[in-house]
Amino acid sequence: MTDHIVFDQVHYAYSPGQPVLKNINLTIRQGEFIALIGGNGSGKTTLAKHCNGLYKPVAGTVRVGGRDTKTCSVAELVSQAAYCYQNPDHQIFQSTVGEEVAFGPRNMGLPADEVESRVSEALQAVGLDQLREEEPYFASKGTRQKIAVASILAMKPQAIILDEPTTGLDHRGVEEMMSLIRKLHRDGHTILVITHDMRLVAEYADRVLVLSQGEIICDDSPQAVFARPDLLAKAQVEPPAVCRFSLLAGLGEPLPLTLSALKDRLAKEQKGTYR
Amino acid sequence: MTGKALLTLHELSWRYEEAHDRALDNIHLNLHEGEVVGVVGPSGAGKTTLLLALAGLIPANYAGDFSGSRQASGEVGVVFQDPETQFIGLTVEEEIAFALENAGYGDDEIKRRIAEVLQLVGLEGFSKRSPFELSGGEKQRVAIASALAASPQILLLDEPTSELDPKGAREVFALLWQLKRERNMTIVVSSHATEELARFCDRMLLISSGTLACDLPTAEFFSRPDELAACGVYVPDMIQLYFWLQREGMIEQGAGKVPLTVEEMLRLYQEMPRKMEVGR
Repeated sequence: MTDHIVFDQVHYAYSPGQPVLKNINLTIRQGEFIALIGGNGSGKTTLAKHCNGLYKPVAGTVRVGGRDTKTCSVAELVSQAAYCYQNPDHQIFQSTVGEEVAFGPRNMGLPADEVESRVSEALQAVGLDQLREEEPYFASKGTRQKIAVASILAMKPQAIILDEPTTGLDHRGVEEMMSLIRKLHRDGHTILVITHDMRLVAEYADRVLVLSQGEIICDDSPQAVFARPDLLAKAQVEPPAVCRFSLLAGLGEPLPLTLSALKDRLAKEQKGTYR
Repeated sequence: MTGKALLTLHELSWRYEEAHDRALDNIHLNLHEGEVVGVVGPSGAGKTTLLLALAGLIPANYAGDFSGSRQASGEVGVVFQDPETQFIGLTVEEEIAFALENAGYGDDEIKRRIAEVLQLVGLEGFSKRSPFELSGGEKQRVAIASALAASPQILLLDEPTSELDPKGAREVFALLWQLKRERNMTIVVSSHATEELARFCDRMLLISSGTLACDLPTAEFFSRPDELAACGVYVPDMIQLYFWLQREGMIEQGAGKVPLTVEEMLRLYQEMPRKMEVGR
């Protein structure tokens, strides 16, 4: 896999003497599905906003698609990586859903017919084609979240960074948003998602970054990360219920990450004892 | 349910002005002393409206059609989803004092109560801080402290943990449990976090299209996983596992009660009958 976003000894601080990111070394490869986890204030959003040049490091470099983010604008990097805000209302500002989604590609200076086809494509991808002429503000939180994702998709970024895309959604809303993200990943997009929902991390991600006080304290597969509740406690998170159960029950490796994996394991175990 | 009813909704229906359908439809509900009640249901089902009706804010502060009745014999405190929308004070102390000043309490009594509720929610030493600069969990605890300052017997919380990280969410639920235990408070909490609700609540309500579709003690409530799933409610993994183990015949029908925590499921698993391990 091609290296896509590379952090080299990155430091960042909003005010001097109060570092938010400390010596981040990280390589994100094309096609990965990465979850970024950690408590509030651990630096997740700050790290994510470095991935498309919204923030530039105070020291060190971030390269996106080979380009140093300090030498180019966010707009120049948009085909490489784009960041989707945690609160869709911080992003949405146009009077119709279609206009909202058209804003990005139009801003990129694309011709009208290209803008048009990108808007249709993006709205189709999130399943909101029929809402094109509607006002975005009165839609449900889940729908507004999807509009925000569509606005990002219309710019066709290779990597999509999603900051807590399921916060405040009900169960169906969560499932819909996660299926959409999985589909984008299957279509070849690199995904970096910030979430507090460890069940989703276990089910969807193939790599987990654990952030604590501005440092990456673990960078591994979900199996490896969730097998270490001690380390996760430092980042103020705990493994999902399926993993906690499996660890306490001594099921051993590989750690089941999902309920269906756990059922398979228990079924095998039961058969084994009948032999 | 033991304990006397503190709050009763009787045949309560409500339609917001200009809305087509009723947001609440013929709700019968009794809240008793010292119980923690969880409210689940998909977005738009009427969870927030139910809490507003329990608080008496509907019909008092909203326009619409109301029928039925509400009887309350205790003070009610309310905590909303996003604590920032309810903050008005520049310091935590001012924030908590606001409601007390409006209720006409004297300065000494206000000081005493601020100190008491800050200790209760574990925020001693925070009185001079700005509520806006706190972490999500701390903000939510300030909002709870403000609601507690007027000594309500009933505390209503609308999705108090949806914006919080896991640690903040655990802090809030632990505090609610403590309020029940130490003060015998009645607590109603709506949330999509069914795993936490299963762990903390004595009783659960399912709201579906404005109706009270289910009202049962927590273990019985989760004994209907298919019904809950059909209403868009996530059934916690350990409960799903329990019913699967029963269907597969690995544990007996009705063996033990529905596990509401990982630890309870683990105990059932360890007691599962296992054949002699031969030929391994």
